[in-house]
Amino acid sequence: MRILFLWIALWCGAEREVLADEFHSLFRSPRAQAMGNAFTAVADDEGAIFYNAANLAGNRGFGFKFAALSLDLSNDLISSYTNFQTLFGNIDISSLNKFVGQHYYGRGGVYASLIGPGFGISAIYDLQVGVRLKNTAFPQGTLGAQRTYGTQFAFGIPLLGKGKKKSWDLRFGMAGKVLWRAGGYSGLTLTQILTLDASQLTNKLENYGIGLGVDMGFQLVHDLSPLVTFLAGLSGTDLGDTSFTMGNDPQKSNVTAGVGLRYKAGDVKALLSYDYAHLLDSWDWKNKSHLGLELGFSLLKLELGMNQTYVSYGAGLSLFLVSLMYVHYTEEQSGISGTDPEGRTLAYAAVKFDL
Amino acid sequence: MAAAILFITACGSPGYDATNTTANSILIFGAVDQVNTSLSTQSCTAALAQIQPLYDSINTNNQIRLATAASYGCAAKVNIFQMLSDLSKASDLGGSGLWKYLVTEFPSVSSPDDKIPTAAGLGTDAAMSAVRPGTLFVPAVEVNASSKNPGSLIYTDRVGDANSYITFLSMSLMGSLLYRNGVPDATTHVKTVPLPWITAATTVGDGCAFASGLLNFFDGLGSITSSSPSSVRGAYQTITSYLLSGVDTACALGCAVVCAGASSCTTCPATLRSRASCTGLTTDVNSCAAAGLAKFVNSSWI
Repeated sequence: MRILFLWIALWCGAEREVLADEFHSLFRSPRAQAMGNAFTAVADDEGAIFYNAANLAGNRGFGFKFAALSLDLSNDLISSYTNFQTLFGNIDISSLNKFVGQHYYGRGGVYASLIGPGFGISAIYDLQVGVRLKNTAFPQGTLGAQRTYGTQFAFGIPLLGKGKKKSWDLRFGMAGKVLWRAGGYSGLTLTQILTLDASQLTNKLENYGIGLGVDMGFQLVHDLSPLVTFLAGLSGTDLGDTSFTMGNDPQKSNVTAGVGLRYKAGDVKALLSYDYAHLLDSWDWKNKSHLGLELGFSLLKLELGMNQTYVSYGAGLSLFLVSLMYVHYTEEQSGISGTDPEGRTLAYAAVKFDL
Repeated sequence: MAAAILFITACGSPGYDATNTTANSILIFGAVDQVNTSLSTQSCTAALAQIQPLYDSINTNNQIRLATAASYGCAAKVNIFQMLSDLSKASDLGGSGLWKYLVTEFPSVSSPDDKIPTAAGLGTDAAMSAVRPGTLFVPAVEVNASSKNPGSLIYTDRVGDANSYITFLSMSLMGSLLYRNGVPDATTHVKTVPLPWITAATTVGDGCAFASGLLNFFDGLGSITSSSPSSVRGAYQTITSYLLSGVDTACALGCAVVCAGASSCTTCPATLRSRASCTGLTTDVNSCAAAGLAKFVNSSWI
């Protein structure tokens, strides 16, 4: 517990960050997204490597996922992909007006992970592109092009000894990562909008920088009954920001507190969770709030959530060695909730092997 | 764990409070975001309502001033992509074509008042107040000095984005006033009525506003030419050459001929960048120069 308070005290002295737009997390678990991104207390799969390493202390078996593919696209991109293509061609200036107010965002990832009792390791490759134009009177915009790859190793250990009450457990976890990143997100001036071309995207993706980062977390587990467990989590990812050489966008830190309930009876499992993210950042409190529910059966998982103030949902299917998932969620692009929502669809497929 | 969560929440930053009259960074970012979103759908009234409280507060800054300018720009019918596209297709911009282009882009009526010139003027005020850090205001060329957003008539005092945007607002100001006062032909877009601001006394109001718009437009052309797409760069260069050869001469003629030498000027006065600078007296250099500019347009808009 002293470690916990020392860690918090260090963080209290850190400079506060004002978040003006979306927080670009390193890894988006499709389950977490479907559950409104409320995952800190309840993450019980490979997502724990990234969301809260302490949760790995509760893992008993081995799970291996390889060739996990994730494709995350904004609804505007899906509905008008041909428009997006012409944005970078020779078009009449006036036709740029039809792109104003549109959100073009795409993110693709390839992952592999192994989790075992008290540990997890994952390799990631992530590519994301975003173009957003606003304001016909005085055009503004955001241009994002970012490529990240690397690996993250995490472990979780129980802090309460065997002499303590068995219905309680406090767990501690840490993760270390080494990442390579090129590019990032930046604002577009009027001049840049008027002279936008594809080379601005590709140029961003050329110069890789290396970054080392650390995550730390706690999980409190209390069995309320043989079927119901109370969970609480506190996680800090990318402590002090994971910065990269070459000046590429840093992976911003995020401190999240979460609570949850787990019900398990036979093959039926239910999770209810709430996260309050970005505890140390200045942001609209509604943008920090995440609420999620999951109903799990032997082959099927159904999720429902509130990501910030927007409904999210998803469904996942596990068939022998294959795991499939479809998710819909919405992400706020402004510092104030309800101002600029971006609807997205995420599809995920992986080959898995559990012991 | 619960104690830890309470502890960490307490040491975190203050949350966003929409009822707090003192703006914090989130409030400023959020208001600007809201303005940009509103202006994506050309909801000018909503945008102004969102930014005006901050613009009038002690929390105002250049980001807010430019968002305010954009909100007025929306009301002044400024649509940059459309304007640039039309500009790239316009002809004879080194003469009558410039005035024809402006009235085509900004048709305007005074009854009922569509408020386009008013919005363009107020937007220019807001953009003029986006000055570089550390700017020393010279009282003679300062506008709205007693407000929370004092502006400078000297374009080098202002940030680049402000100067770029003033060129577009000035086009709206000039175009709408030309349309109202020159009553252009529906087909040829040539004036059917001479501009009335050809004496010092008649420049007070619209004449002075038009002259200020022309000079502010001219000031910003240099910076915006280099930062424009190639398709409109040539058009800007043509306009620059045209005005370079005519504007200062027109002002000098206004002083020497219209006011019969009662005031003296060899170039356009810096103070004429303010639309409220004309007094209507023949001893007022701004009024005389503004009258000279009106005569210059009358002679070329044919």
